[in-house]
Amino acid sequence: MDETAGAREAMLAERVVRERLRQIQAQVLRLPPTYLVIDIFLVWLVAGLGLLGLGLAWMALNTVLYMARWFYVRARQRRSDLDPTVDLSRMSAFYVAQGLWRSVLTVLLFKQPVTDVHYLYTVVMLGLAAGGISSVGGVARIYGSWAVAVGGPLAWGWISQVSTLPLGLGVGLLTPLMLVLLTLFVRDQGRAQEQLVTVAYDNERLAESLRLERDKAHAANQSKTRFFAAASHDLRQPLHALAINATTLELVARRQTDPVVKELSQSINRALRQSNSLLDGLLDISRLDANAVEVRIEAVDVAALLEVVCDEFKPVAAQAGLALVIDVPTVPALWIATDPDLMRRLLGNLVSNALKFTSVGGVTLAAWKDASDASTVLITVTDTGSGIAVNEQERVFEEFYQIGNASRDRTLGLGLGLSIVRRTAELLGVALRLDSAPRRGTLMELRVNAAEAGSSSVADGMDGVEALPQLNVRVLVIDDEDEILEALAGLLPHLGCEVRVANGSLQAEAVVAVGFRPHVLLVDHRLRGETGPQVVARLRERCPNLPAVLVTGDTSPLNLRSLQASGYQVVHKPVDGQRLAQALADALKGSGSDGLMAG
Amino acid sequence: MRVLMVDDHVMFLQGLKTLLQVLAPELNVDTAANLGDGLQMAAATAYDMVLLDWHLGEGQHDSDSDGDASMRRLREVGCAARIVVLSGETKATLIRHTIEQGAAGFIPKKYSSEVMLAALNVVVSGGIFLPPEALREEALAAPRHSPRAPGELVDIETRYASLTPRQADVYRAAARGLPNKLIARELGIAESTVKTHLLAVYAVLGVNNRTQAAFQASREGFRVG
Repeated sequence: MDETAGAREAMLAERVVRERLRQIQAQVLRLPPTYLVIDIFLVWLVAGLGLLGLGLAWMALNTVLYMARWFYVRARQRRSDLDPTVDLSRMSAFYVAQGLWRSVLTVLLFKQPVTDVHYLYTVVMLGLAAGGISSVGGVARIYGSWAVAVGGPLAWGWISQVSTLPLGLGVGLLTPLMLVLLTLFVRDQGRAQEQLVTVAYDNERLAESLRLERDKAHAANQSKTRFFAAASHDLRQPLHALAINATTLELVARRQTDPVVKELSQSINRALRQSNSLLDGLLDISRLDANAVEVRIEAVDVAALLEVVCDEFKPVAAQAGLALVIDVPTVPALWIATDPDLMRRLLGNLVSNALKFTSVGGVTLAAWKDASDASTVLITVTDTGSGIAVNEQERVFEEFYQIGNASRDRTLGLGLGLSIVRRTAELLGVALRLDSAPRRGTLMELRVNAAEAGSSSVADGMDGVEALPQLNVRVLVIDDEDEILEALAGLLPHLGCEVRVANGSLQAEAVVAVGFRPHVLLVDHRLRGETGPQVVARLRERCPNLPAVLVTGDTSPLNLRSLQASGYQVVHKPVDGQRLAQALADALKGSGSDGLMAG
Repeated sequence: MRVLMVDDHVMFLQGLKTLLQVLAPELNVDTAANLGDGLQMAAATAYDMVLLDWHLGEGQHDSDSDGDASMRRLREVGCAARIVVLSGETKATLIRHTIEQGAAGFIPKKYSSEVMLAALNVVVSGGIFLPPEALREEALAAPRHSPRAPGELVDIETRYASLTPRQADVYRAAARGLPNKLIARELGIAESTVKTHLLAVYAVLGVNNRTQAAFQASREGFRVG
């Protein structure tokens, strides 16, 4: 302790020295222009007594001294590796030298009989002394040395004139007195400075230790998260294997007549289920803490959501003899913007918790549009249970905190439910409010953003199609591959088409001959022994201007261009329902044929 | 029926094999403790069903990609079996994702024995099992369906008499999760024809895509394998 206290003292002393040096250096760099003006004034004063030459020579050397100091400080300032005490004592020497050199002028002046000049000179020197207190960085020793060097000769000057000027004695005594007072003032200033540095230093240390503590707490929290994740993940693997074996055991037990085996396997299963749900809680918490939970917001039907939650917990409620009811308007349906999976689990945790702490009555899930804010839907989970005292209402959201479970009965869970709820609510941006009193039950209220009524969220699947348009036309499909004929014959009725198929122009002509009057032809581009356009041409002999759509699997650019130039509607394999419908519609429109009815 | 199980937790693998043998002694069950072995076996033998652990290897549970890679590589070696995913994780988004990737069923590892037995019974008899929670959740964002209790499996033709035998074949292959290319190879028809058939089938079933078809098959108990 002494050692650290000593180290602190040393550290503080060095800081004080540095701070003082810094202030002195700042003034050294700032003051030369001021000194130059003062010196010019002084030279002008002594010039009046016929001392111009001496005065100028004095001023030249004085300026050299100032500039030398200026350059020295500039050079030292850029280096941080220097011992500040050395520089401080050098500055002190500079000050004394400067003071002594000033006194040279004082001595020269007071060799002359006293005139107004001496008064003015004294005023200027006292002004310098007063101003000087700001340039010594609070070091009384430096100021004192300078004051002796400057004030001594000045006082002597006046006292030496006593024979001709009795008043000189007064000035000669007052000057040192004033300099002593100024020196004392500098000393006080220096002490205040020391205190300031100490306070700043202690503050810094405090902030640093706080930062360290915070980092330590953060690291501890993260390692807790990692531990939970690893523990629950690794524990899960043998549990899964155990569950599978227990299932086999139950299967075998069913075939046995011995009731003990059956009882045993059921009991194992119950234990396993409980272990699993405890692990689930731990894993949920660690995931939420590790920000490893992805949120996918979509429009969710509140009534359906509440039903799902209700279905999940109906058996539990029934077993406990509790009512579990939903109160939600179905017309118009309420929709919210949220992640359905996370929201379901959040509500599940609230319901599970409510059921756990209710012995009589039941739990109600309700939802309605906020009367004062149409963009918000309120969802509440209300129970008629034991309630939560005001001083416990914040703590219940902490992990592992359970009211009235001092014996830590694990059938009541680990006390993670509400801490999962709070984390999930934060993640979903849902405001959570608790209203409860002992023996009055508990109300949990969620404020969720309302959403426009949603539609299927899986419509963007890989081979998705929109609702197919209905064409209401007769189509003759000509292809030489039975598979394709069958496939198109299967699809076209769903576009509202009446379909006949043919494997070439001969069959096609036969179909038309027996009375089928197609509105449009759907012809493969390449058939056995003939091309699509040839088939179309033959059929147009019987039915002039019959519109036609060519189907092609050809992807060579040259053939595609010639196809496009042919003026036929073309669809490419694989045939897309929408595009096929569009091509058929376009072909019919191009021919001005009627019988087209958009759907 | 030949079944391949791929899971890197040997205890679970052994346990599940025993369970399947007790549940359905007629099954021929092979096991692989890593994907490499599984791929070799799938390339050598035509399995009817693969029970695949979604998180093979000691990867983090948060990434869905390891299961994606497993499924893709199984298909790459020509495996045309139904792939049923097993996972300790039961997020609805993960379940939907596996179905989108072509899984024909999803069995959570943490089920109690009754549900696990029911689930295995469904997949062993050729149905698609999806957790009821996932089906209900699917209903949250989709037009309302009333989920059916999983009863006996039915053939799609008995429900939709208008389907041609070919359309029913294509449907089953697609619901099993086969990509169009493998469906085409299996049925000996062109890929574009497969697509055309599927459009017609989806129109009949009133679904928009393969994923919805799989969810519907699970809900309605259609046999796909």
